[in-house]
Amino acid sequence: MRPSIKQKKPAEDPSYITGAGTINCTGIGPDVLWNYVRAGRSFIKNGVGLIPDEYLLSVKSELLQSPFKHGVSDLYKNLKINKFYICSLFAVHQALQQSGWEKLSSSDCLLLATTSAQIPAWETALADYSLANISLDRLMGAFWEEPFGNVLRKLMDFMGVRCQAYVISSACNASTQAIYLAHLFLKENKFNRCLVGGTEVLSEFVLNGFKSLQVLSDSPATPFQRRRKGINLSEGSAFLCMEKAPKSRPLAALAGGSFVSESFHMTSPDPEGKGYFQAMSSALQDSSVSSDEISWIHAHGTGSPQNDLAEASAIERLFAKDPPWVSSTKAVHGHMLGASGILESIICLQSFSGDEIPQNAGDGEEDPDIRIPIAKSPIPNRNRCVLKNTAGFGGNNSSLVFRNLL
Amino acid sequence: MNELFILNAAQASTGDLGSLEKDPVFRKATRGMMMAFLAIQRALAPYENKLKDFSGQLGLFLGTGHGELEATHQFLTRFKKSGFGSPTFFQNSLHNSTAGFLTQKLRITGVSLTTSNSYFSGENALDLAALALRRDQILFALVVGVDVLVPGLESVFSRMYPNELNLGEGAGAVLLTNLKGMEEFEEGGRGRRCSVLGIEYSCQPSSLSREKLEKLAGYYDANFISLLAQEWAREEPDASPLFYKPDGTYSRVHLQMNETP
Repeated sequence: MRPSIKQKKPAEDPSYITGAGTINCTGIGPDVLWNYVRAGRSFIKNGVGLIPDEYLLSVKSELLQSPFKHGVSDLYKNLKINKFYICSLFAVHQALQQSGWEKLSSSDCLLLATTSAQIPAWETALADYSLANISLDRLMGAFWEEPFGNVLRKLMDFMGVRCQAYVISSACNASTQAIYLAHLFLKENKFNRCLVGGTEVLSEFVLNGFKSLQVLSDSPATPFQRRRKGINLSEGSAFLCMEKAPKSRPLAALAGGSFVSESFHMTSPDPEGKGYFQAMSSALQDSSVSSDEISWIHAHGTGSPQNDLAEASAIERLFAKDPPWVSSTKAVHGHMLGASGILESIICLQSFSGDEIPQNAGDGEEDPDIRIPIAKSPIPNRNRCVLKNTAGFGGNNSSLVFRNLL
Repeated sequence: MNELFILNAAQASTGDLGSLEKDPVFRKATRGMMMAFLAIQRALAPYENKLKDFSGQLGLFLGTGHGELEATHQFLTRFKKSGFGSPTFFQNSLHNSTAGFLTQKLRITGVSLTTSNSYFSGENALDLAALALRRDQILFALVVGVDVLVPGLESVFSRMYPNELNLGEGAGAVLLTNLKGMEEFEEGGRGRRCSVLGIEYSCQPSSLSREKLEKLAGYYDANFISLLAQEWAREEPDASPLFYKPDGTYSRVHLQMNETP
């Protein structure tokens, strides 16, 4: 086996996160999310984390004051169908406000992560058309938003921006990959600033698809715990503003990251967590952060029996001597699929200002096969560096290393 | 700036699928997966043995306009009819399923990334592969563009594109490397002669002339990789070929043909 080229990589400048925005099943904004994560309060009902309509209505007035007001009124005429755009625009608006960016320019970049985009708008119509229940004209009203590129362009039209843009769709790993791509773009000065986000809206297709795989839990997930049954799907949007030379004080630095392919199975991780291990070790090398600088691992921790065992096994091997605290927060906000990496990165950033390692929410009964230190209750701690893991169907893993600047 | 080189490029089309469709290894694979596999197999052929030592330094960057819409369609239709959701159709329905299948079959343990951006899906995949190579994340990148026409949705597709456009399906694969990768191989040949200097995107859509529309015959959203493979295969490729899109926009790749050492 040839040595990894990353071993000889010297320390490089980080990129900086200057703004964050989110709307999800816990509510509106990073602070609300953090407060409920700290409290360990679950927003999972009947196994899923849906955004109540009242949250969408409550962001209406704020969006109408935003630079995206043109066209936003039309969106609200069909609230359900356009949940994707409302959530995305609000999370973008909130992130831009915090960063002090007025608008994206042609020297900036937009990276959007999603696995299903606007599928709730056309899934029923497509099946009905195929079974000759509706006409082609009726299907086409919604189906033109099937290509992710068309959804991206409509989102950019609402935002009134023209810049280089990408849609990353690497399953549940998509937004973590997008953050790391933004980091790489900024380091090579290809763009001045990157707006990175992920949005998922739950659909019958996604819910029934996961149901067919028998991986869903009908109660709040219990990651890393003995009686874990499966995952909770959820919806929402989360965006980050990233730049290399911020004008104002950044929220945190992204020291480095990784993306690797596990090449094992379409929907299950390697039992020894080879992908997790490679992603975490590559991220530490890339960021020039030593393992003892990591005070907390925000785990992917879906609550599925296979994932948690694989991830724990990889953490145990990599941090053999002195493993850091580990917790998953998915019992609170659910698994936001392609957008989960960004949502949970926001929690990592909040842990810097909150001086706390959040608890691993759930019933608390230990799994004897999981031999890593799980944070059973909130732990006051001055976090220096935090490691964020994600994994996705198709066998791809990513990790990010965030550094506290406070 | 870390230079990028095309080592090899290939394509596959519907007509090539015959033997694979009967192969039990591909029993659960979609047509998109099979076409992409064939294109990659052809692109890797001259380097297969050498690349075995580099599976962790080989990345897959896949661009697709519609993803695995055929599997999504099959899942939704069956579910509507029977109330039963097929796990195979669901796992195959993700845009990322194609890349997942390919990395598993080809034992690729570098990066695996899927991008989907309508007409520019292939260009985005090339862009992101180039970024990973320039930043030394990997030494070699397979850039793949694939899209299929979905049986039963022909009328839907013809509504989504201009009337005059002759739609098709297929896959293209380009094997790229950076300077370090070239040094590992320590050889000349065609790869050393073709550098990828950059890629640019036009912004303003315009009406297409009849002549340009005819050039798009057999069009699919991620066909850029296939067209790039064709351009590369020419004895004297255009240094800055243009790739037209159905709305009149285009992309342009800047290639530099170097002297063979």
